[in-house]
This record gives sequence, structure tokens and C-alpha cells, in this order.
Amino acid sequence: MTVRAQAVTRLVNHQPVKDAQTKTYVRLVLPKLLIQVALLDVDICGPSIPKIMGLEGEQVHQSGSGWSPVYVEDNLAVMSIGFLLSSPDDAVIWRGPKKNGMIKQFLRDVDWGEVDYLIVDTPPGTSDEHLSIVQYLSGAGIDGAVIITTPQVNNRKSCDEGKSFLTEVPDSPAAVAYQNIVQKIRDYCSSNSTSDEPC
Amino acid sequence: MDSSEKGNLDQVKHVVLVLSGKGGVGKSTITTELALALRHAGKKLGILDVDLCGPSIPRMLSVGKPEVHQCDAGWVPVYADPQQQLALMSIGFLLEDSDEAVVWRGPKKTALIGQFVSDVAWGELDVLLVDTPPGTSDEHLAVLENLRKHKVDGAVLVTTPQAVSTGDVRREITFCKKTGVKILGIVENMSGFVCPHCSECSNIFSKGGGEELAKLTGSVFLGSVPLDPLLTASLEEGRDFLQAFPESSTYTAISQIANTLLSSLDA
Repeated sequence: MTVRAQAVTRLVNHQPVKDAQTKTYVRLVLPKLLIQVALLDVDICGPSIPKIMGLEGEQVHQSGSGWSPVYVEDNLAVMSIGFLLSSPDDAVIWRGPKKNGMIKQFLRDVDWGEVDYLIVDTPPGTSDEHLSIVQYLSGAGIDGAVIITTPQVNNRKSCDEGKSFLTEVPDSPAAVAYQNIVQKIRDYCSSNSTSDEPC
Repeated sequence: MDSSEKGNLDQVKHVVLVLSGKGGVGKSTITTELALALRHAGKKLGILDVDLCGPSIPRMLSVGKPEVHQCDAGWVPVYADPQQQLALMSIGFLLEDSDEAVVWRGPKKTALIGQFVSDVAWGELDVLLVDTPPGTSDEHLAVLENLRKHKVDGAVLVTTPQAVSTGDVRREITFCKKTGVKILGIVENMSGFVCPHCSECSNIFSKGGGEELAKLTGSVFLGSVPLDPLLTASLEEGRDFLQAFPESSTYTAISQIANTLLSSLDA
């Protein structure tokens, strides 16, 4: 299948295995770099992108050229199932095949326009959503994956599982790990601690 | 239903699902700590880890990579303690390579969960805790469908204070209402930070979102557990935090939540 974005020059598949909610904050950096960015939320059961990007309550419109994504800035377009739900209490209780169908629709029917970077936020785990997005985008080519983690050993193990997934699936290039949260704690303690011991 | 299915869950007094809307909220941690707290209270526990793509409970309980055996009634669970008060079954036991990713689509996950639920010879248990992956999808539906023949007492929902997390838990609440699962209560995890050097509990992250959510949705607020590096380290090393640090405020928090849960189950 063809991705509707007219010029998708680079695809970065964002691949967190054990979800740290803060992983999504990383995406706020790229739009400042004067490039066209598309952000696709394929966490069908737990779409957090609308809230994190300050887009709660936004609706998706349909036209002759397809669904229009929601624009945060002129160069940052966002699509999420969150925009199709009418209430924050609405639950998406779908099995794998239906989720896959939705992801396909997002890629096929959304009028992304010209895009330099398509960033895909995936749910935790290594399942339908991950297999499908890699499969559907295989024609366009995925540049790579970013794995977000926190320092705990359990999460490092999950990152290994994520990397293992990427090697099992063809055309999924290398991954980069990024550690989050720990600096926030260090910064707080170093400026507020009354103890002589370093944190 | 055949007699072995009925037998395997028939002596389990209470079944509690542990749910979260989003990943990374510490659901497996809460499941493990609740199990340990209930065991300290003299109960016989079982944990069923149906997070097929991210099974972390074996490491938290320091059971490593044991071999799983079968008996006439089905799979024999792995015991995390010599007194056999805490039984565990996890997909992690069936993987040859611990770094191997379980890359399965929904139907395959559904089939395996069905086996887990009906084919593990749990024996007599006071409480079976079912640790689920985040979300509202195949695994959750599979667990409920296979437990339909047996009573599910309800679900404990885990969130962190942030609004993004509580937003996801609202969807879990809807899932419970639609599937007829009683909400036993909400636990707010990583609520405040206990620095072992400063010995202070500071709110570097927000606090109170879980309690607000409970009020908003008319659910019971079971309590909050702080982000405690000593707890984290215990889990990484597979040590029993409750035994090692009984004086800590985190211990008090977890014990209170476990006692509240037990009261509502026995009521």
C-alpha cells in the first residue's frame, strides 16, 4: 500500500517497549527545526498524543482528499484515534485485526501533504500495532527506531526485547536508547537536599 | 466445561485483575508488592502474568528461569518461596532466550492466555492476582472470556499522578463497566519521591491525580505509593522489599492498600 504523504523522505519508527509516559515529550523537539513533521499515534487503546500535544477536543475533518490531520503548528500535523472519540471516557476495546485496520486507514486515508519526517508513537509491547506499522511502511522504508527507557534493569531488559523485535522484522534498522527522568531527580536533589551526602 | 478446568480454579477464593491504561505506571510492581503484602498477612497467593510482550514478574520475585512441569491437572506453577505461599505462572518461564521478544498477534496471545487460565494447577489459593499489559485489547478480553466460568471479584486500577495517566485510566474504568468487572479501587503509584539520602518525601512529580480520579468516577481510592529508590532496587534484585524495609513509609502505604483490598474481598 502507498502512504499518502506526498514526499515522505524519512521515517522514524518510535519503538518503546516498556512505555515510560514521558517518552512522548521527546517529540516536541523536532518541530522547532523548520521541517515538515507528521506525528502518528498508533496506540489505539491508549492514545495519549492529543492530551500531551494540547489537542484534546480537536476533531478530524473529512474532505475529498481524505482526512485532514490536526495541525499543532504549520509544520506539525498530528493524527490519533483520540480525535475520533467523543468523550475522554470512551474506551477502544478492540482486538488485533480491528486495530490493524485502523492503522492502515491512518496511513492510507489521511492527507498528510508533504512530509519530511513521519514519527510514529507506538504502544508498549511488541504486538499487532508494531508488526503492522513495520509491514505497512516497508515499501516506504523506515529509517530507524528510538527506544525510550528509564534506568531500571527491568526496563533495560524490555529494551533488549525491543531491539530483538527489530532484528526479527526485516528492514528495521538499528535502534537508539534514550534515558529519561533520572536527570530530573538528580537536578532536584542537588539543589534541594539538606543532607551532606550526594544523591 | 470439563472437570479439569473446573478443578484448577475451583479452589481459588478470589480473583483480582490489575489493570492500567498506560504502560510505565508500575502495574507489575504493584501486583508484586500486593502479593508480598498479602502473603505477609498470612494469605496464599497466586500471580498470573499475562503480559506476554513484557513479562517482568519472574525477575521481581527472583525466581529466575525455572523449568515448568506438568502434572495430571495441568501446568505446575512456580513457587517464589519455600513455604509455597506464593505461586507464579508467567510466559517468561516458557521463553528459551530471556532477551527474546514475544512478537505475537492477537489471536496467538488469546490462545495462550486461554491455556494459562484453565491449565495451571493452582490448588488452594486465597487470592489470584492477574497482571495484565496496559490497554484494553486481546489479552484483557481473553482473560475475561476464560474466567467467565469462574467469578472475577474485580479489578485494581493503577495510575500515576499525571493527568495523561489518569486520562488513560478513565478508559479502563469504561472497559470495566462495559465488561461487568467491579472496580475494587484505584492505586496512585509514583506519588511523591522518597530520597534515601534526604529522607524526605518530595513532590517533584505531581500528586493527587489518582485520588481526584477516584472522586470523579465514584471509585474507591485504595491509596498511594511513593517513588522509592529502595523499592526499585529491591525489585531489580528480586528481594522482598517489605521484609527488608519494614520501617519505611512505602511499606506502610503498601500494607494499608493490601489490607483495604482484603477487607473489600472478604466483605
